[in-house]
This record gives sequence, structure tokens and C-alpha cells, in this order.
Amino acid sequence: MSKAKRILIVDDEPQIQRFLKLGLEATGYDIVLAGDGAEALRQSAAMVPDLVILDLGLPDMDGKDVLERLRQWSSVPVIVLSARDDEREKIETLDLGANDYVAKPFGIGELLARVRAALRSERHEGVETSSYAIGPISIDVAQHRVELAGEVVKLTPKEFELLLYLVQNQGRVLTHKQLLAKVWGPAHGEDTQYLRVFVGQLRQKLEADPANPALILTEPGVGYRIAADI
Amino acid sequence: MQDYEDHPLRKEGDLVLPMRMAETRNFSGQVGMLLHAVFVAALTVGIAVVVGIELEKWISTRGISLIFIVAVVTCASRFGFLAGILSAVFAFLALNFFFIEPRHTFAIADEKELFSLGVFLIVAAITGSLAGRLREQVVEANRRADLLRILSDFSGKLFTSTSEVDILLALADQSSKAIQGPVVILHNENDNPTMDAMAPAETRIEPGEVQIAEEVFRKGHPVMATAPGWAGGRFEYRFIDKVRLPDKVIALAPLGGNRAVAPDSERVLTTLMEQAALAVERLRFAKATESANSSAQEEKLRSTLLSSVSHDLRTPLATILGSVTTLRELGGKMPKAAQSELLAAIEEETRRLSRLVANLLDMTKLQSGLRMRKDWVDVGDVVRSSVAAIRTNFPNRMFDVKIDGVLPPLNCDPVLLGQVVFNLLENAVKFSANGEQILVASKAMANAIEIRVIDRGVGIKADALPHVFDKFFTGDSGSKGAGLGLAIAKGVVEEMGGTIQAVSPGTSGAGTEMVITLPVGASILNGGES
Repeated sequence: MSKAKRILIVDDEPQIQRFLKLGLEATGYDIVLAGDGAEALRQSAAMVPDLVILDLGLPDMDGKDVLERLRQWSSVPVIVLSARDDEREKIETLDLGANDYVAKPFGIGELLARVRAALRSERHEGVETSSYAIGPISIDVAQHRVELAGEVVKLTPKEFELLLYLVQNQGRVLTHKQLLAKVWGPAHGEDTQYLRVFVGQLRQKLEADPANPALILTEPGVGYRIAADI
Repeated sequence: MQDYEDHPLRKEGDLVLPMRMAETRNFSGQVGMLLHAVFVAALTVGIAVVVGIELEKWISTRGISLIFIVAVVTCASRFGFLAGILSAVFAFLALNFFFIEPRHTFAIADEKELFSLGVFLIVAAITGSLAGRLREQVVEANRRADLLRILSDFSGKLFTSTSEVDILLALADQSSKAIQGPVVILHNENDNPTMDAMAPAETRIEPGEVQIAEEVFRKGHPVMATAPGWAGGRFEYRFIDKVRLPDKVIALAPLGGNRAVAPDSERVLTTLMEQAALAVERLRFAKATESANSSAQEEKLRSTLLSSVSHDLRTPLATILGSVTTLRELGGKMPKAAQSELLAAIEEETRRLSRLVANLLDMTKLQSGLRMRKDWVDVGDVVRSSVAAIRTNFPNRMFDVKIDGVLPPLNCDPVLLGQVVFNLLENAVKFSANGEQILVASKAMANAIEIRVIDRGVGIKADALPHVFDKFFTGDSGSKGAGLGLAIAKGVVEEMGGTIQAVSPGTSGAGTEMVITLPVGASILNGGES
């Protein structure tokens, strides 16, 4: 295995810092700690982490401001630790460029899955992949061809684009706005009813049980993601 | 409160005129006024006759006629037009009778005298009537000045009025002055006309008159007063302002024959009612805005509570869940020290949670009225057990207890007092560095016991000092606690009849001292002495 991935943990609660550090170290990551926003920005520049875990409630500045400033010069994957009941904040941070969020409280397994997904998408970045295979589904990008367990599935061009964008970001939540802007264009950023319809159609065509989707997961009030482990 | 004998318009005899004018509206008033004029004219001229006879040796008849002119002018300027004309006629007759030959008859011997007597009559009549009119204009001007004064007094009162009752009282007071009669302001309460204000204070709507007032409210129409002797009431009822103040009616009873408001008073009255309606409306708007503001403030408080409590709950929960799952899923790959570190974190955070829950429960109890379980308590014991509790929560910190002499027993709830001391200790831990010692000192004062929790931490900024006991106040120190600890402490201490005070910097020149003073019951003190 290549050298250990370095993760910067930004949280002002020493107790949370402690279990994150112990858990992630036990998993084989290299850990850097920061207790406030200024420290986080300094460490991001100095230590060049492969991933940042960012708590939004920091003593010196808003976590969103940290993210915004970080994004001015770095594309390092960022996972935000947020309150479970604040959808607006989740969307804001995702639209500001966070790769994912985990709502508090969370189990270490959930966080580790998000960390892996974020690091994987980082690996894919800039690499044009011509085909994807996710569980029983395989996608040929050049031919616009989707197969489910070997059978060809007919998708409209928009359905295909939507599926491809989600699959390219497997495991990562994409906001309604991000999906709409990518597939229908930035002018349609608010037309979430399109999304509902197209996601519904994709589920009909691809899910084993469309009523209980296992592939395209809904993040209520935020967006959609392709299941990380399938 | 207000006495008509002291009324400004009645203080001087010559200001009685408006009252008298009102009276002239009936016949007897007119006769009375005529008799008065005849009397004063006769009296003045009589004086002039006496003076004339006394001076006759030294001055000519022409000089004497001048004395009479002086008498006429004086009478007119003092008692008005009618008295002026009458005194002119009397003077003419008196001059003829007493001073023109042949004396003591109204006959005139010399025709030249007849001419000069005629001239005298004309001159006296003209000067008398001019002076009389002037007098009446002066009275009128005074009256107008008085009405203006009523208006300006009213504006002044409105300016300082902070309640509807104040405004209505001022309105009743000033309109009573304006119409020179009793005034009552009413509103309708469950179909009963109810008085808001009246002037003079003893004014009442008599039982026989209530029916009319009820009808005013029922029909929504103003009602005129009826003339004395006719069925009906002495009050005239009007709505103060049907648009701005539809619920208030003013009842007016102008003194005077026909019970009508004089035209000049009417103008003032209209202005008074307009201003009062505007003022009350403004006050009601202000009140509505205020209550909207305060409910917005309450809303803000509630959301502050929600966010701070949810943070306080979420952080320990996140730590516990995170640590437990880490131990379970990765424990095998961890060194022993790391595992026990996670277990310690779980323990600490569970304690933190239970403290928060206890605080929230206390707060709820305080808000819904606290039930104290009072007992005779040794404050030293309470303090020592709180310190013991804080030591288990913060084993790395240094705490010290200092009790001066023997403390008298205190009748209070030991559990709540212990919680207060614990909250103060926890605050002291939060706001001071690890190496700094925290001291709890207690001593007996005259009639009281003092407990001080002293830290050498960051202290409290002067501008934050007055707010530290406010609910949900957390200062700007970056602390994210719910801000309940000190609010609870204050609530409990005050429930015990004591006071709590934050002093920063403390007597050592740094940190914070929280000073609780609890009164010692008198019976126990006496018991101690005997």
C-alpha cells in the first residue's frame, strides 16, 4: 500500500477530536488536528492533507467561511460534520464545495464509508473513465449504453446524464441544485420537480425494488447519492 | 380635585361674564343683569354727585361735567356697555338736577346751559359706550386666552401621558374647564356604561341618567342634553372620535340655562377630543408594536435555547456514539491505552449529559414555581459535598475550601444550594486555566452567610457583567454552553431570599468572584444567643 492518507480533523471539542483521531489512526490514516478555523487553514496549507473533516461550529469563525476560504486555493475533499436537523446548512456547505456531510451523532463506520468515498472520488478526479461498473449495473460512457445484469436498459439522454453524474460521484451526496445545474443547466437550479420525475424513472428502470431504493438514495431535503457500497 | 370656586375663569369678579352671558339666555338672568347695571351706574353717578358738590366752590360747572365724564368712563370700562350707557343718562340727569340752575329741578333756566347739557349727554354716551365695548372685548380676549391655555395645558399633559387613563383624565379635566361644567368619559363594558375619567372628581352619571348613556352606546348616536325642567338628562353625549376611538364617549354638562356648549368652547372641545383620540391611538399602536417585539424576543430566546441545548446534547452524544462504535469496530486494532481513553471519554460525556439534563429540569422547576425542601443545613457540609462532586468531574483541577469560624445553621434546601455551588464551580473551571486553583470560601456575616466561589481565570468583561445571570447568556468567550447555570443559581438563591453577585476582577485583581449572600432566619440567631 502506498503511503498513508493524511486527514485533517477540524473540531473544537476535544472529546470528538479524540475518538476521531483514535478511530482513524486505527484504520491506518495519518491524523492532523486543528481546534479552530485559523488553525485549520494554516494546517491545510502546511500539511497538505488528502482529506479534511470539518466541524461547522468553531469558536473563531463559521465553518462555512473556513470552507469558502479553503476552496479559493484547494480542491481537497472536505467532509462536513453537521447538525442532523439543519438541511439548509447541509445544502449551503455542499454548494460551497464540501464533498459530503455526516450528521452528528454518527457511528465511526458511517464516517469511514464517507471518508473512503471522498478519497476515491478524489482519485477519479481528472481521469476520464470510459466505463463504470456498480453492482449489477455497467455503464459505457462513449456508447451511452447501460446494462443491468447483462440486459440493456433504455434510458433517455437526460436520464443517462443524470445517472452518469451520480455514478461518477458514487457515495457522495449531490444537491438538487448541483444535479439540476449539471443535467439541465444552471437556469434550472430550482426546478426540483424535474429531478423527482427523472429519479423516479431511473429507479423504475434500475432498482430491484423501486419503492425501497438501494442504488439511488434520497437525502431528504438535500439531494441524492449513489450507495457507496453496492 | 377641581373646585369651581377656584376656577381660573371665576377668580376675578369681572371674569364671571361668560357665565353671566350664559345666564342671559333666560329672562330672569337678563333682568338681573339690567338691575346690576342700573345699580352700579347709579352708585357711580352718586359718588360723582358727592364729589361735585364738595368741589363746587373751587371749580366751574364745566369742570363738574368733566367729573361726571370720568364717572361714566370708569363705570363703562369696569362694568361694560349697558352700565356705560345707563351711567351716561344718570349723569346727564344728575348734572341737570344738582348743578344747573334752577337746582333740584330738571328745569333749565338758561338756554345756553341746555345746549351744553345736550353736548354733555352725547359725549358721555359715546365715551360710555366705547369704554363699555372695549371692556367687553377685553373680557372676550381673556376668555380666548383661557381657552388657548386649556389647549396648551392639554398638549403638555398629552406629552407626558404614558397611559390611556392619563390621557382620558387630562381630556376630562381640560374639557371641563373649556365648557365650564362637569365632564365624564365612558366606555361600554358588557352593556354597562363604565366611567374612565371624570372632572370634577365627584362627578357621576346619576342612576336616572344611565339609561340615556346606554342608549348612546346601543344606537351609536350622540345625544343632546335637554333643557332644565324637561324630561331627559343634563349631559350631552358625544363620541370622542368615531374612527380612532370608537369605544369612548364623552358626556358634557355645560353650566348655564340651555345646557349648550358655547361656540368658542366648542372649537376648543373639538380640538381637545381630536388630540386625545390621536394620542390614545398612538399609545395603542405603540403597545401593539411593543407586544409584537416582546413576542419576537421570546421567539428568539426559545430558538437560542433550542440551538444551545441541542448543541449541548449533541456534542456528548456524538462523542459517546463515536467512541462506542470506534471501540466496537476498531478496538481490536487499538492499543490498550487508546481503548481506555475512549472509555474515559464515554464516561465524561455521559456525566456531562446528565448534568445538562439536571440543569434543564431545574430550570423548568424554577419556572413553574420551585418547591423547596427546607431543612436546617450546615452550609460548610453543602459546600464540601459540592467540591467533592466537582472533583470527580474534573479530577485534574485543584479545588480548595475555606470556612471561617462556625457558621450558623441555615434553613434552606440543601440539594438546590449544592447545585448552585456546583454550577458556580463548573463555571470557574470553564473560565480558568488548568493550573489555577479554585477556592470556595464561606463565612458568617451579621444576619447572613456568605459563600464565595473564587477563580483566577479570564474574568468577566465589564460590559458583560450585568448580563451573566440572564438566561441563555453565554458571553462572547466562544463557550457554547446553554447559559443556564448562572440563571439557575440566581433563581434558586433569590428563591431562598438571598442575593448573588458577580465581581470581576476579584479581590486578588484577577478572575471572577461569585458572591452568594443568604439571610439567616432571625429565630435561629436569637436561639443561638439565648
